[in-house]
Parts: sequence; structure tokens; C-alpha cells
Amino acid sequence: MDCKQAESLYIDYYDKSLPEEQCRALEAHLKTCSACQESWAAYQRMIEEVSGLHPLTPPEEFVQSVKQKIRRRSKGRFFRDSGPHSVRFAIVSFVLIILFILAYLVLIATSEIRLIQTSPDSASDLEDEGASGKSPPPVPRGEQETEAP
Amino acid sequence: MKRLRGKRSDSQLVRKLKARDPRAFETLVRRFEGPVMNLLYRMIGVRAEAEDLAQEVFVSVFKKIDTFRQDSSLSTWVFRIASNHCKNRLKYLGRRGAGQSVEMDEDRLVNPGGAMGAPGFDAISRPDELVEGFQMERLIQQAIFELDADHRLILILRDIQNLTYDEITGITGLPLGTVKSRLHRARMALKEKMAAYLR
Repeated sequence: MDCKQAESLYIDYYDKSLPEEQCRALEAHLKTCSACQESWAAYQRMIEEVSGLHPLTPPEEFVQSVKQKIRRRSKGRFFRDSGPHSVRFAIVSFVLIILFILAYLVLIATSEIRLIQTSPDSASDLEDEGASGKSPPPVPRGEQETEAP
Repeated sequence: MKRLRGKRSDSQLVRKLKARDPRAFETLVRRFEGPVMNLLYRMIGVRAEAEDLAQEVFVSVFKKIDTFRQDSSLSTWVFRIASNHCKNRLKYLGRRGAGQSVEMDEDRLVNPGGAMGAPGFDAISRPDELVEGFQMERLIQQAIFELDADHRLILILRDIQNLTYDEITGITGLPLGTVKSRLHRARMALKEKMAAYLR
């Protein structure tokens, strides 16, 4: 086996898939050829270096960027914005408005009830004033007309 | 690369993808964004270009999912789309005269830990070694980039992505013999280019 032939077997030898006979022949060559020993060592080291390259980390927002691109190109057919125009936002807004109105109505109702509850004193005062004759009782319209000349 | 195959989970995911399930698409992107971006970055050598192209790959995956008949694994299919996009982009960049040299991810020097699992600056006792390592990566990346694009693709798929020969033949559509001879030539050429650093 010459150096060129030995070199052509590196790929399968590295994968441990070289047939036994060729494997023995290559190993015998490597034992006697210092140039091929060096070359084989460099071959292995090179693969290790390449395999050990640090992987690139995709940016956090990568998925969102892809979705945005699809949304733009499909004119909003896919991956609709989950922002203020979404259905969910509309439903939440509607419920909040209803709750606000209900709260307002309850507030008004309770304040009216409070007024009614506090009014009996003033109402009895008015009744007292009418009974003592400080102010004349209202005259019915029909009676006023008959007294006129 | 994390090998997440499992035919059953793949076919479930594909079914959901065909139904345009947004969550399934997100799962797909999360699963393949790293391997796809790394393939493109090693092929093109410029991070921004690789990111942009990776987005295009996933847009294509989304558009073409109905044509995927599952006669190969999902990862093979995604990689096939990525390598086709890559070839087209390289042709385009070649016409523009761009892409003659690589650009390293400079952030790595500023933030050597990041998501790569390497130690932070506090844990580094020899910053000179860090710079040395960074320069070594740069040299390897440049040497890979100088390979013929067809050979480069096979080398990246095999030695960086750790794919099997079956997967590589599925992605490239090349016979096994061609894949192996290209890989052999790529490795020998790279060994020559890196000779000074491999001693």
C-alpha cells in the first residue's frame, strides 16, 4: 500500500467501517510510514476542531420575526397580531365596560337609598310646619276661581 | 445537533402544521432554528445574512408544508429546503461579489458565555487563551469558507451537524459514493489549509 492509497481509506477508517483486510493493511502502513502517521493525526485533529466549533445561538425574537414575516406576506391571513385589535382584547374590553356600567348603577342606587334613609327627619319637619299654620295650606284652583268677582 | 426525531411525534407535528396550527409552527421553529442557522452561518459566513436566510427557510417550510409527503424525516426535509436556499443565496452573493471572507460572531468576545455553555469572564483565568480560541475558530471558519460550496455543504452536514450518510444523501439527493468522495476531498483540503495549526 502506498501513501495515496492509505489516504483514500481515512474516511472509512475514521468511521470504523473499513473492511478488516483493508484495515490491517492500512494499520501496517501507518506503522512504517511517519509521513502518513503525521497526516492521519492531522486528519483526526482537524475533524475534532471542526466538530468543536461553537454553535451559533439564534436570537430570542427569532420565532416572532418569522411569524411577522409570514403575517406581512400573507396580508394578515396567518399569525394575526395579538395586540389591541384581537378578538380577545375586544371581549375583555366589552366585559370591562359592562362591569364599569354595573358598578356605576350600583353606586347611584346605593346613594339614592342612603338619601331616602336620611330623609324622615326633614319630612316630619315639613309636616310640623304645615300643622302650626306658619304658612297657609295650598288652596285648590277651583276654589280660587269661584271667589273672584 | 439535538436529534429529535421520533416518527410519531414528527407526523403529529406535521398534521398540526398542515392545519396551520400556530403553536405547532412555533415548536417546529424552536426545534430547528439552531441547526438551520448554524448550517447557514457556516456556509455563508455572515451572521446577519444567515439569520435573514434562516427566516426565509422557515417561511418556505410554512408555505410548502402541504407538499411534504413524509417520505423522508421532517429534519431531512427542513435541511433540504435550507440547503437549497443556501445555494441560491450564495449564487446571488457571488454575483454581487460579496461573501469573500467570513465574519465572526463578535458578541462571543464580549459575552463568551451566552447560551453556548462556555464560562463567563469571571471564570476565565487566561483571557489570552480566550482570544486564542476565538482566533482559532475564525481561522477554521475562514478555511471552511474557502472550500468549494458543494464540498463545504457535505463537510458541515457531516462534521458540524453530525448527520448520518443516509440523512446527507436525503438532503442533497446525491448518491452515497459522491457524498463520501466530496467529504474526503473537503477534509483533505481543509487539512492542508489548517496544516500550520494542526501540529
